[in-house]
Amino acid sequence: MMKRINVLLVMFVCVIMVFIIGQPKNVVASNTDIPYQTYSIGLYGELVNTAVAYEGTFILNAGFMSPQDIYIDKEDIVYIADSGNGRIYIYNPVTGEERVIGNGILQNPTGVFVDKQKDIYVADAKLNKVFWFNQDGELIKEYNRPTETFFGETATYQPRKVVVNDNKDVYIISEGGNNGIILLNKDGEFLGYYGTNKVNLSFGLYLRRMFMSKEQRQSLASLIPKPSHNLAIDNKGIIYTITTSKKEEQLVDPLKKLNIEGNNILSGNYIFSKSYQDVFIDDKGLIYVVCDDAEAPAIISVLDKSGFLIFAFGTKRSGSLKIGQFESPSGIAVDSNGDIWVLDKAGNNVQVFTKTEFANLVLTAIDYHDKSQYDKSSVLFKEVIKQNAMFALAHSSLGKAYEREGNWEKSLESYRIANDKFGYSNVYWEVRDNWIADNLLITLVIIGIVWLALYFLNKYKHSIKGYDVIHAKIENIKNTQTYHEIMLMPRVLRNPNDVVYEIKFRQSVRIRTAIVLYVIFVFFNIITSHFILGYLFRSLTQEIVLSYEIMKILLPLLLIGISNHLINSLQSGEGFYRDIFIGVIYACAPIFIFKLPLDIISNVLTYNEAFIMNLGYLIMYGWTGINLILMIKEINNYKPGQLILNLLLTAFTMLIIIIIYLVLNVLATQAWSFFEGLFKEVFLQ
Amino acid sequence: MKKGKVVLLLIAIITVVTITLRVYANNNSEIDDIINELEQSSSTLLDSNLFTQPDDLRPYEQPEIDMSEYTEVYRNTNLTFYVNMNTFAIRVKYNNYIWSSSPFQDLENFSRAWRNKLNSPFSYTYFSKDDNDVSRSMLDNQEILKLNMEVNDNVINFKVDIIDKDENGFSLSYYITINDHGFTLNVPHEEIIEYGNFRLFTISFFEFFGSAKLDQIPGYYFIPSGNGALVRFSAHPKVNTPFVSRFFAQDLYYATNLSGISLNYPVFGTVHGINQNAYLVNVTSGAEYAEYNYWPPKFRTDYHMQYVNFYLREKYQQAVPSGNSVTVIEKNIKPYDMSFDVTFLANENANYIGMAKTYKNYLLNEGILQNRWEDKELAVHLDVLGGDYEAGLFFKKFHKMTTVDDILVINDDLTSQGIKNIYYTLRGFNKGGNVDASYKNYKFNKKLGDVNKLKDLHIAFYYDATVIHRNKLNAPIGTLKTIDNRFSYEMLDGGKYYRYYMDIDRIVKELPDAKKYFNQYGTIALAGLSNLFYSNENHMRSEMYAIYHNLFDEPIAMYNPNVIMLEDTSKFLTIPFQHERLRFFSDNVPFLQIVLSGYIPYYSSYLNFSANKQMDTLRLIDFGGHPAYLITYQPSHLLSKTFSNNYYASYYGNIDDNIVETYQFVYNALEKVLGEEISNREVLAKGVVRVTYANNVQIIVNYTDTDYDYEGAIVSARNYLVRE
Repeated sequence: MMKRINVLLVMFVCVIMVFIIGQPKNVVASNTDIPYQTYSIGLYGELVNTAVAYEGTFILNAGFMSPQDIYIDKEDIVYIADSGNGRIYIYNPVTGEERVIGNGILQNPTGVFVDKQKDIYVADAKLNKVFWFNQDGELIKEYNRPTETFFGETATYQPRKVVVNDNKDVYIISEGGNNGIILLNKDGEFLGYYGTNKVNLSFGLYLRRMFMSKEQRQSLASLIPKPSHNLAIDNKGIIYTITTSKKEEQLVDPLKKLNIEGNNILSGNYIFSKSYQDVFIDDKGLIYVVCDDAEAPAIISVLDKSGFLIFAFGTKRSGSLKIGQFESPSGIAVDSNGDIWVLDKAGNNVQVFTKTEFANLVLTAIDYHDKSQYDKSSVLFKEVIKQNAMFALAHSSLGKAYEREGNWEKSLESYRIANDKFGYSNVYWEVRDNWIADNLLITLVIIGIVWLALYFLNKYKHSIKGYDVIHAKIENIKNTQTYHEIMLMPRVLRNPNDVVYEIKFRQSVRIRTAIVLYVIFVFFNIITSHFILGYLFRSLTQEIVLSYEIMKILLPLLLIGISNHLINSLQSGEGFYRDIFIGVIYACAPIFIFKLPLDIISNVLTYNEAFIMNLGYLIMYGWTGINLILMIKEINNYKPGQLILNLLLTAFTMLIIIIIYLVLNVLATQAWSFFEGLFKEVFLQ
Repeated sequence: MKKGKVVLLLIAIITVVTITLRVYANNNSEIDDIINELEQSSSTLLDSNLFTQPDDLRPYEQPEIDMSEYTEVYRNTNLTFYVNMNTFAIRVKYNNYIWSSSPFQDLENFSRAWRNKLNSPFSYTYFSKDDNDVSRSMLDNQEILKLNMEVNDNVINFKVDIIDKDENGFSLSYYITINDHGFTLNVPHEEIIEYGNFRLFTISFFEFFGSAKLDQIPGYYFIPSGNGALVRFSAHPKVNTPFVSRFFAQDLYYATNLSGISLNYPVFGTVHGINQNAYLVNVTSGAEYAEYNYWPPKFRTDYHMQYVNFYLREKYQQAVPSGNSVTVIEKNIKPYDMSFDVTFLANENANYIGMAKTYKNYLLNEGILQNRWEDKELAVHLDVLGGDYEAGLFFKKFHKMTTVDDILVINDDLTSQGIKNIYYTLRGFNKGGNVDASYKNYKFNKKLGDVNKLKDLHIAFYYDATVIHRNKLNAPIGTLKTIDNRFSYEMLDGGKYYRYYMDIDRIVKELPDAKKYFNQYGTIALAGLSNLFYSNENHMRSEMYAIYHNLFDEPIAMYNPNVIMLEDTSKFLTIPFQHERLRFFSDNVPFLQIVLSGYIPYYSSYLNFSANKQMDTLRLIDFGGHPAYLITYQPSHLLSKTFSNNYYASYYGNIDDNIVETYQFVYNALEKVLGEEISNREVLAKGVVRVTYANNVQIIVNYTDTDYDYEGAIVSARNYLVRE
């Protein structure tokens, strides 16, 4: 579960970009004739191309006018809320028979649902009512605004979407329904609100809210819950809702699977869009959603039970006559074959997509996996990997299957390929445990032997030929200044004030040594973090840019030094910049000394022992911070009050420097584009 | 140590379980069972336009036609040509069927402008004073234009003149030359004259010819999208707007992206009554400026319509410094002749197969299609990826995916399993890898071994001279500049890479050197140029034919070439097995394969990337092609951080069995028909197809999930049967 969230974080960055530019890059020819790309989750949590999962097979074009909703009942009969024509259009794909109900009653049907008794429920946006028809189109009941007082006097009742459970309780999504889904019983009595969205402003938005006008607050940073936009019900009666929001608005879960208390139980909520239009759940519990906005234009996605993305496909192109290219998809439904029916309100048609052999393989494997038939699922997942080596879900599920089999080696390999760190951690724990059980004795013996060997070596060192020569050389090195400078490092740990004295008064550290130490510090950090740190603790960023890595480490150090020096000169501290410059790098001594051992140890740790790493890092960085403060205090000879003031001002200065940089940056870009434009106009026109 | 013992015990138990499971899992038939257990829902697929549907073979009786307004102007043994002297609409009687350029009935339901349009021999668009394009038909403008006709034996000269030469208008002539089985329409460019400020934009002849009302006529249109598509006449159109597409796609010089549809062959056809009456239109001159049009019924009229529209000028958007753009219209009309052949087909030829044969004959007569078969042996095309670069922390990291030695291992492996004829194309073997395979970066990367070792194999080098990839927005020297003075490029992977299109003059300079270099080791397998047909500021698109042809002195392998490059094609690689999936298509037909069959060997798209492996293998047998794969010797996931990250299924270790199995499966089917021409193809039932070759061998392909009884023999589900 955690792993999926982990992957999600990486995902959020890359997904959106890929969707905007969905051009095929290398001509993998069998896919070139398909006008849309199919994606799945790759090994780094990013979207990757995969074999086509769904192929367009059928178009329903029956003179629709802005149709808003589609539903398919258990017998595969298709119902479309043909809003502009004020009717419900019903189509039987087997016989090709079509019929219409609700003519003359409905004016702007926006939601349609059919229950197990084949009764048809319609939400009408113009009449603001929900209608209950029988299969022949005879009106059984109308659901009007509840009269109960606890419905709320100001609460809106503008039904847009409707679903009904097996008890014939009616769930209604109302436009502007901040209180949540309106739940009525069969007779239209109000039972309460359900699945209310939480108000959740980001910190930044909360700050900005203070400076907003009333209108802005209402539209961007309202403290009233967002109303849900659409809903679905699965065959266990679980309700799913979707809520659309704009990029900068409060954080809401775009897709929710609600438990009985109305809370979201999706764990791998694979969000790449804030604009889901419709949701549908099939018999196996797979979730189908379609979204439509500028960032994720007309993408249909298939998610597993817990909301983890399996496939995404489709694209938006207005005026296109190609299948899989939409104008404005507004509804989605799935029949018993697993065919996906997508309603397009601007294109006024329905496009139907059928599973390919590949998608069938993947979905069947997932089904076996969900039913814990790991032997079957692993056979199929192996076949999936043959057809797409970058299918993370398959590798990770295979890892799990191997784990159940106790095939640790293969399991580790699969988890590693999938970058499923939590899976890897669990198996690694097992492997390590086995290793310890097998090798504990022999390890102890080896340690004993080595200890003995060292003991005797030390005892008889003078009788070894050439020992004195080497010893003399070592003594020589010990007398150099560089050795002395380096040996100041460990002294920082024991007595930082001593070292400050050395730097400040005895001037025993040369500038060039400090510069070399800075350089070593940068590369030491890069190498340990990216090459020595254990796999489980390493960051999973796809691309590491050297210049960025250098800046990330070097800039804070330099910034602290410079800001502090600027403040010192105001506060008439005693230190020179030279002292501060050297002092800062010496303050980092705990990192120099402890990072490497910690990172090496991390290679044999799992997430169960993650606290060791966390604690180690905390001590290391905390100690460095304390050193830094002591260093500043001693170099400038501050009293405690002065020190606190100095630290606050230093932090403030750092902030100001960053802001100045940003402003200059913007100005420079502006100036550049101005001169560029000028140049182009003068010379090119 | 107690824990250790527990763990040991656990290990023992787990090992036993593992072994049991292993034995269980290694049981091959068990695996097959599980995979075969997968429910197949192919029926929706078989009903879709991705397959050829059974024909509606109802005989179509044409209603009695009133010919009173029509005058017979020419007659030969096969056809009679009529002209309406008032409107100059034409009618042609062939095989006792009357084809008309105007509707026979319900003209009174249309507005005057529409009636004029439907009766007019041609329609045109021109630019108004404010640069908007205005659509007119000939009969709309009788006060300005007059039309005369002159008949000289089998040549009819229609002359359009402007009545008052001081008015804005134009004059032109079109000639209809009648032959045994059809006619040719020709418009010489020197006879198109514009008067005043008149600026012609497009012109189209006989838009209504071959039209069909709703589903009244059993028949279809044929459109050369991909390998071929049909639009069967139905009363329920799948789209509400017309479809237009340039032949050979939009010229890159005028367009900024390639997202459009590309019709690689400038032909289209109409069938009225399947196996009864049909004709094929072949645009023989001016296709590079022409556009195909299909109008669905219920859009303006109740008729299915298709015609070709010729562009005399291009218009484009020019950006201006204020950030807006203005429409710019070309000053002069393009100096090219418009010409198309109409060939009528009757009875057993009145279908898409007959059309393919007609077009094939044309290509043979023109010398475009020549026999390129060497040995009539089933081959496998292996497109091998050498390697690609990944941006690393300190250095770029080169992923060696397949070395020269690996290719030799693969070759030994496959030949030992009975695959005799393997055709290798190598990509990413240049320095810089696949990402950097630009027009001048083709030298072999020595890290991958000594290419001379491959001399005994049949190899060619993938070479696409039209593109350079960069990971910055920084146009390389030689990038094509579009007419509005911008560099021609596309953004890939959300801005991680940019694809720049090269100016053709650059390519012409570099290609001979590249050829010389490659010819030391093998030949070129040409991509890019093979189906991208574009011009630049120095040359018009009509001049490009000669420039393209001059690049090659001998035929080479080409990736999906258009008709322009067909003459220089020795092997047709990655042939489309589908149309371009337009919603209104009803069928997928192997028009292109029928045209090529017996002359140019063609290879499939890469089957390892197929999402419907079984179906695509059957389609390969149905359409008669060689299988193809894109492979790497190392696992594909190594490519996940490189430009080649969409080669997700290339790992040889995963697909080697599949290559051998598919080869055997296809070999047994096509063994006797390699290098033979396809002479007929019929759909016997939904998902069952019978293909007949010139040597009378028949292959019955069954795409369905149930066995098919063919004349007493069983064609098993998802299988085929060969009959001699």
